[in-house]
Amino acid sequence: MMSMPLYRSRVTRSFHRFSTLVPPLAFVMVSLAWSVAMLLYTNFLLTPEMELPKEIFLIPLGVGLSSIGRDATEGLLPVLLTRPLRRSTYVLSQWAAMGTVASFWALLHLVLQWGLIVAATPHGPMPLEVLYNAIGRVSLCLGMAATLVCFSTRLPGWGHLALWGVLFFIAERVLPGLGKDESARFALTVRQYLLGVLMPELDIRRTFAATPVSWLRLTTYFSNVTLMLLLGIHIFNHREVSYASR
Amino acid sequence: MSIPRPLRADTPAAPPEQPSPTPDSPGVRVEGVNKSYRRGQRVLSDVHLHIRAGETFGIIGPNGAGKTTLFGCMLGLLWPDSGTVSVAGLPPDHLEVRRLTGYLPERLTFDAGLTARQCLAFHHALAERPVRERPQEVEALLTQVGLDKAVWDRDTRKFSRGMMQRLGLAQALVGQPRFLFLDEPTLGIDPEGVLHLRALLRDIKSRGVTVIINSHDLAQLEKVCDRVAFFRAGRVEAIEDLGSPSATLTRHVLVVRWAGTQSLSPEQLATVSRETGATLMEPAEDALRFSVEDDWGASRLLGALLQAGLPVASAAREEGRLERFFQQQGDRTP
Repeated sequence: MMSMPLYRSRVTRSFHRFSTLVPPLAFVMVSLAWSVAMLLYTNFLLTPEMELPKEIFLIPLGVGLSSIGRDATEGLLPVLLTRPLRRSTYVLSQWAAMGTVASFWALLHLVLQWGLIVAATPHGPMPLEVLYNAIGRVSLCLGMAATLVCFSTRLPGWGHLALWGVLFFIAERVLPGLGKDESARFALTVRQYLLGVLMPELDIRRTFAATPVSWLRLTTYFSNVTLMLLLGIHIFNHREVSYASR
Repeated sequence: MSIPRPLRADTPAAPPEQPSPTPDSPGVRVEGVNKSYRRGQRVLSDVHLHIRAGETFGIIGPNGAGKTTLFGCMLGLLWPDSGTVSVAGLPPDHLEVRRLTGYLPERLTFDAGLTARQCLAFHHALAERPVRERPQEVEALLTQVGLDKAVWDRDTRKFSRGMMQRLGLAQALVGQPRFLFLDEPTLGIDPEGVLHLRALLRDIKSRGVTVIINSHDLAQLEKVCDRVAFFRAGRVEAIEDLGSPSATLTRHVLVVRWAGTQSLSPEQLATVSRETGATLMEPAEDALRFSVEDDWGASRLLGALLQAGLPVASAAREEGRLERFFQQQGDRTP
């Protein structure tokens, strides 16, 4: 299912490349610096809050700068795919690597934020809350990685990020406006589904704290991620990769 | 038989027995392959080829003739519109075939930031070679391709084209392939490297590896290949068997050099040529070139030249059989 050498190399590469190292690092540092600045500015009156998982969506986007499309543009695919490696294995390894690295940055951000809150206030957040937040972040990173990898199986270079951006703009700016019209209510449903694909996130608290357990949330998340991965594998299986075909 | 685009690019994993391409085994078969790109441009037209196991096969032809596309089809990276390709009797994208295949692409790139040793170790791992043997095998391969030891731990972004080509060749040799596909292997390599590559190819061939080379370097192809296919406009125009004597081989060009000054007039030379059945060709600056029927014809010509008073110092068969073959087929330079 997954190639460990490829997975390891893609994880390592994310930390060695300027383009995939700087954006998430900058996000973490700027976010932390902002919280510290607010603390100092308000003389410790305004304590920082733990950000919601979905607010860290910039991290997977930054890590996603290096994906299948980049491998194709850089001419790495012809040699990689003549190795004893299924194409589905290649796609899944890319997804796992991107999800792992994005999760690492998201969790590092959470740990630093938590540390700051604990240092600045007498009562920090409950460990269970932090755990929910962490799981939410990891689920968002793995979910967004599936979507970005799916887009990059066909689009060259950073095309997958451009497509994600366009769809996100439609979901956030166009569809809500359309949905205001009584006759176009379906636009809001489309928006909800589109956001579920673009930013799949598993809200653990709302999923498991509900009585009974909200299986719909759980299955929606896993079906969205699975759908994007299967779609990506299907597209990549049909892709011709020789540079002569460009 | 027609094969539309496969539903899955990867055929299921290997049968238990591994195909061993001995001279009796199937080699590479290309049967009636047609291939067009989306713009409607037809790149391959009814290509038939049978590359025998263990032979070194060259592919020549002008730019845009479809050579690289054929390589793509043989490697399972491109899907033919119709026709079949098989390697060792299996589809080219079969995982077992990939275990037997090494590929050196023309435009070679590696993951940026890796050293030569790391690159090769990565491909060694992808080729499912044993971890325990990795350091030794990687070093053996780097030595085999003649890459200077001083650059083994240098970032490949600082490599010259020739160094990259050597590393690419080492990468293609990872996993002890039985089928080696080389796309322009001498590109950017210095003369010493070319000699090294030629010796390496001889060694690889002696181990029964099937080598398929796509190159514009006719002189090198002539020295290493058993057969060469001439491609034009997506078709195999002709196949030249370099291993067996043929009419083109027996009829050859003899280059004659002399000591001191050339004392014979053009008329005398024409007469000598006519009498011995040779044809005087366009003379070089310091040599005379004759087209002779065979070795006996060459012998007669040399005797007549000496008798006529030409102080012959040396006579040698002119190399470049493949070049002449190419010119006959394509009437153009590669």
